[in-house]
Amino acid sequence: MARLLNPLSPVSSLVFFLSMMAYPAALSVRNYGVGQSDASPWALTDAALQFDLTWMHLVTDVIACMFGAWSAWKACSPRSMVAPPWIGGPSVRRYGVPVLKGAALGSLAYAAGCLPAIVQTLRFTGGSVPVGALLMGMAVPAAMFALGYALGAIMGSRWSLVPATLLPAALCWGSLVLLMPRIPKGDVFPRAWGSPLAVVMPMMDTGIGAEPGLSINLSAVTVRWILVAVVLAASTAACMLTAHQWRPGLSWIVAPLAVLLLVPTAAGGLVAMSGPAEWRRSAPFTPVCKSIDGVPLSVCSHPDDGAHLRRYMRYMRSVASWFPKDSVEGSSGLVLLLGNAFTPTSHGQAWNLTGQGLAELEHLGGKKIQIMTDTVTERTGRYSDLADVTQAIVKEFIHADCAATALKNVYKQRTLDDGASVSAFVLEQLPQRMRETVYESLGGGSAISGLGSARGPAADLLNDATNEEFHAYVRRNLSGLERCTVTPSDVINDLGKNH
Amino acid sequence: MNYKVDVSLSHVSFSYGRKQALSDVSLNFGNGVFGLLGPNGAGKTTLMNIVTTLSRPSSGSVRIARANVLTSAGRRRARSRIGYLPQSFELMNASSLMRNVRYAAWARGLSWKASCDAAVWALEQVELSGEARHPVRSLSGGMRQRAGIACAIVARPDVLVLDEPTVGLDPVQRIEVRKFLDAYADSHTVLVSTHLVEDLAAIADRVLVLDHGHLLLDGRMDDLAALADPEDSMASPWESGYRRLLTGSGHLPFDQGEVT
Repeated sequence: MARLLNPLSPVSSLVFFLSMMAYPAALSVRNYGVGQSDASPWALTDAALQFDLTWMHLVTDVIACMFGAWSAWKACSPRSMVAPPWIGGPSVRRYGVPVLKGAALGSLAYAAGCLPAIVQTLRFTGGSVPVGALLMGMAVPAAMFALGYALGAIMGSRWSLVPATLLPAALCWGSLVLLMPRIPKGDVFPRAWGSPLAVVMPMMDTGIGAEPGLSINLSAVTVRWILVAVVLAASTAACMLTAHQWRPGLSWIVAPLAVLLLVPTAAGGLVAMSGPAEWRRSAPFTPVCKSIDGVPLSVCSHPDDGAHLRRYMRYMRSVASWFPKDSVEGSSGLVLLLGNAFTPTSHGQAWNLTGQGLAELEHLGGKKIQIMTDTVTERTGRYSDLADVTQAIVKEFIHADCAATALKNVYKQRTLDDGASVSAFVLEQLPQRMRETVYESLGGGSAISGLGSARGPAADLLNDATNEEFHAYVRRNLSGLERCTVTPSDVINDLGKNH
Repeated sequence: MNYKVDVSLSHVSFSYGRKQALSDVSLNFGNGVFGLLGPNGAGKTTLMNIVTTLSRPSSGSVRIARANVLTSAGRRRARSRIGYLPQSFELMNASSLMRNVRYAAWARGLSWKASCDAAVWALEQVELSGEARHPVRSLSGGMRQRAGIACAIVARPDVLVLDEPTVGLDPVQRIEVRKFLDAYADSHTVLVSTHLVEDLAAIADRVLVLDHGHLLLDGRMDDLAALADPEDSMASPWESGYRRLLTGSGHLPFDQGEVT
């Protein structure tokens, strides 16, 4: 291990590694309860969770840069005997190898810190490992280590820790502060944060562990890693210039610093001038739609959002299983539109679709509901979460008009005394139960909601039923619930027998 | 004496602003130990910085192994042939001594495999083989000094420049270092700056005395001893001669000229 790390000290490397992974790991663990109905009160709200996960590499960046400066000061300062700047020998490997090693360590530390969040994602959304998001985040600590190493080599003293702390803070937090006002708060398409520069600035890594997540354009990942390569090369070149030009005094410092700062900046500027932009999807477009067998429920997405489509098809299959075939006959159905892609930037038109796309949507019929898969920090729309979708589905497929006013009485009296109150009580918790069943079916933990506010034998049986029991009960009694003919004693007879 | 000329300084001057640190110094070094003496501020460190290519002279020319170090390519070529031990230095304290010296060898261009043999050799030269596995932080001051020498010599440089190499060493260790430098100088150039005249008396083939940037003496240690005050019983002949040279009361009993 020591040889693998050389010239980075194993002890300092371990300390910095743990420090680099601490913040993302702590955030991941702290947010572990989000998505569970019995989440602890100190877990963050979804919006805050998404914000944290989106920018969770920033503290890692600062520590990675300090790590670089520290390592360079130890290994190649003018006072060091192992690799001082004045020695001969091939300086490419003398500086390039430690830069690469430290960059790899920074990336790995960030990835390790994200592990709990990734596990959380896989458990509760059934999605795949967010490779794009992870790679976006891993890129930045790597670049920051290289910058820090070059600063340490150029300054050759422990004082290099000061600029090594300030530089990434200025780059990351500064760009964040500058761009925050430009982050859309509503429904915006295409998702371009004011400038394609967003791709190259060390800020976004998006959506790990968050649902709904952001889709990362792979070209953005590639561009960012190309820029990381430029930073690594420029840092190594700056170190080599340091080695070649080093002499007592300070005037020689200008050239290495120019290489270190100007080359990545110029490269970033060039990329920013020529794109590509980050979350741009072709528009107008013809959506890809898929339907659920036996239930008039369809899911549509932009062709680039195939991952979202597959994910929501799995969700909707689970949701559809609550409805026996005959219960939804005659319903005009629902069409779930995924992603901000459907919303045009110009308000002059209703949909961002081609003529053929519009025709296909009309052909599907039914009510259209849209879920914003790009949402990050704040949503003004209604359908920002799966619970909203299941609520819309319940409203669409179960027309229990007879229970419309009964829920108020349930809250007031806190007992179930007739068929209407039973229907209202069941329908109250049905969307949440559906949502939990989706997550359970995808491998998430089992949770008992206990949502209802009423008490009494029938209410307690409903509250205490597992999601699986509740699911079976609703399937058996759906038509009765719709007509408010299921009485509290029926509930006791049915669930008491099966419980 | 016949020296293979490896380092050549011709009419070298250097100034820090208005202060003249070196004034029209011309020297040639070949194989052997060359001692550099002088009081604080005499220009020793400036001269060593110029030889190690760290400072560029204000005027004059410097060649190391025939490479003109005033050019970029020449400086790069020369640096790969120089080993330098500054007066104060740092090592990677958490790593083992062996790891430090091996990395120093690798950084100077040896392969990782070859660096092992080189490190073993260097540590043998400074009698630190037994400490190879110990972390540097556990070494005594004298051992650290010898570890620094090991790093400086690990790539077997043609020109070895040492600034106060025997500071902090006990008498036995000083003798060991002297022995090594004497042997190394058989086929290499060794330039040693020190205040310990006796160290040079034991090994120096030639001594250079600087004062206020001027070369006062370029000769043998015997030449220095010849300047000694016969009535000075408190100092060795070399120390006495050195003192008289600096105070200006000594008269050089020989012609000053280039020794090549």
